[in-house]
Amino acid sequence: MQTEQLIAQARKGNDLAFSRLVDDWYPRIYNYAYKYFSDHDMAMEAAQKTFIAVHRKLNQLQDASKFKGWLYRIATNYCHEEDRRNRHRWVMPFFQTGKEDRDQVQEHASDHRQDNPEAQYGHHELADVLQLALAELPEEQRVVVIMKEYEGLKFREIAVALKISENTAKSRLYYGLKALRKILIARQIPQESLRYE
Amino acid sequence: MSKVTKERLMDYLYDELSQEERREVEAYLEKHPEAKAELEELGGVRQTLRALPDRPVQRPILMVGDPEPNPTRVVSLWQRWSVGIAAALLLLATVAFIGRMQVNVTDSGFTLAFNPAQEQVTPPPTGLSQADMESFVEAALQKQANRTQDSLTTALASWKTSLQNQWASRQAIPAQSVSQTEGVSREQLETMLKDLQDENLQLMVALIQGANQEMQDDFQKTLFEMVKYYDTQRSQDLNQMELSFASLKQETEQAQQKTEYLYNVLATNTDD
Repeated sequence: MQTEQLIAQARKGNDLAFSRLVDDWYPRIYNYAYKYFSDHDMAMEAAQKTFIAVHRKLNQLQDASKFKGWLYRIATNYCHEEDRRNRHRWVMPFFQTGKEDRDQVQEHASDHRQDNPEAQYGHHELADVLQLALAELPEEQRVVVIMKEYEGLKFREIAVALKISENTAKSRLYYGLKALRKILIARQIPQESLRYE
Repeated sequence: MSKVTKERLMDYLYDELSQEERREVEAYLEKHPEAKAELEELGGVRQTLRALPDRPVQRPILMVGDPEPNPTRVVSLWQRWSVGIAAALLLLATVAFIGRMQVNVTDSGFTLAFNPAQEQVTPPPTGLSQADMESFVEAALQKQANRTQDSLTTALASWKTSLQNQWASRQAIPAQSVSQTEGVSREQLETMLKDLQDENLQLMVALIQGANQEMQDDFQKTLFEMVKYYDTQRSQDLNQMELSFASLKQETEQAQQKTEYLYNVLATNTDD
């Protein structure tokens, strides 16, 4: 409801309303893109492009209640484009990182944790594995898994976002979860973590 | 009981079923342990996926352009403008036809010439709105109509006076000459009548020419004033645009400086 009001105001040229819309949705689109790429810079790039396009095209959105699906469609298009662009780019690293550097980074990162560092480290490691596992999924399954599991989109919203049928979205999610299970088992994630409660 | 498809299983897993549909799936799962086991596996994957948290992010300042206008609004704007443009063209064509307008294109621009020669006119006050412009043209046309009426009244009055004079002189003649010789008096009368007719004809021609001339002059003035007005508006717009560009440039430079400064701060912090 709140989002729809902001959209109505933003369409009338209210920049403040648009700014609030970005405040509300930027973290979501960034996190969606981050899980898609596993890369901060690429996620920022895709998220910024998404909101610039949203600002430009907001008047073309017929039905404000379909904003969520529409927003993720734009985001997915930019993620796809960014991914394709970067795949063909040859990157010269500034410096080579060794295991020592990585350990140092890990140590530094865990300095900021307030809870039990050991438990947090374990959790952190699992998060890294999950991020890698998502990256291993085919793009069409990865997108649906992120949209459903982390962004909480309804199947009809996913269908709007990807211009596919709801059944196709459900089928891709099913195979995506199956594939993830295989990947996680192969990466020796303890079986008890995979138990359904 | 029909088989629960993988799509239906996903609906159940993500709780997108009505209560009745839910019960149906649950009844099926009770009778099909292999389907239940599969569901538990997938639920386990979901459980594990929750260990990947959101990353906190600071949203950046976005450099957004102007939004694209609503397509329906474009049509209505275009319709409104097309009527205006058509009216302006019609007015211009009419004025050009009446005033026998000539357009000369030169390297430095173009000139509008009318037959007869040009006249110096004072430009109207600048910064007028469309409504002001319309009332201005209307006033000019009204003035022209008044002037035509005035000149016609004057001409008619002078014609009347001359007729009265002639009538008076003709009244005076018979008393002296008609009584002397009737033949001469008839000849004189015929000549007089002929003169009178010629005079009237000339007067009418002069009157019509004068009225035409005045009408032409006034249309010419109106057109010149319009052209001058649009020219002034154009130069004002150009100035305005130049100012806007200058301020935009300044703002961009400031933003760049700020970004550089922030980068420097960031770089310094990172070095530390």
